[in-house]
Amino acid sequence: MIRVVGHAPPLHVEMEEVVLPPEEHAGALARRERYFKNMRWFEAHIAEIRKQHAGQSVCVAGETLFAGPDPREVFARARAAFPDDWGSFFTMYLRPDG
Amino acid sequence: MRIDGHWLVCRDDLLRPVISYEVRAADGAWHEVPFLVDTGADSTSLTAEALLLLGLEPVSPEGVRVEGVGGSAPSVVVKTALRLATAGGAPVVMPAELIAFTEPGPLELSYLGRNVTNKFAVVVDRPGDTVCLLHGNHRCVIQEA
Repeated sequence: MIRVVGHAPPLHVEMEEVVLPPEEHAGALARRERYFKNMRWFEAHIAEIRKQHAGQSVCVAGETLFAGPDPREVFARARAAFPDDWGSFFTMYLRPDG
Repeated sequence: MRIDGHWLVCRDDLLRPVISYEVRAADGAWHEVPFLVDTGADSTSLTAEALLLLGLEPVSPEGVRVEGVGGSAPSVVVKTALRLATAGGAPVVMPAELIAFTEPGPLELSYLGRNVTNKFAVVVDRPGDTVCLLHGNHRCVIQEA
């Protein structure tokens, strides 16, 4: 549960269906496929990752794990190693008590 | 319109309903981000990690006060756009204001809250292994099995 406290107005959201140019659509599909590969890799190794990296930020890129206390540094290492996966990283913060 | 999610393995014994979609970064690039479906959340919220990845700037220096079960945490409002892949159709783009946490810790995953889900019928069905958002020509029907 996340509750916005006070009298803040509802945060605005609009909605429109869009037809992407073919190249952009192909790029989005490829990015999504790489993202799901990274996500599935994370799921397959979840027990080991939680054991070793609780309390850290984790990032899977190129089906390889990057982890550490500073997410900036974690993302920088992941991007340097797998620049083609930029936009497809699977990222998560692992709570120490998670 | 149907937007499919999935049950994410978050621990050996724990599955969470997640919908992954693209969020536009400050430089215009799109990044896939996993969002936990949370019908109890007033607003869609980004983790501090997602905020860093996207490089988004707050719309104002004043934050908003956000509370959860674990207490409150510093957060800001950011403007971006969400791009949701639909099953077999054109993607949906949603220009949106979201809450973003500024310090790592309060959330493991970003949250999909009611400022987005109010525009859809939300299906979170563990026995049926289904997580999805429905709109327009798709709807859910409750029937006796």
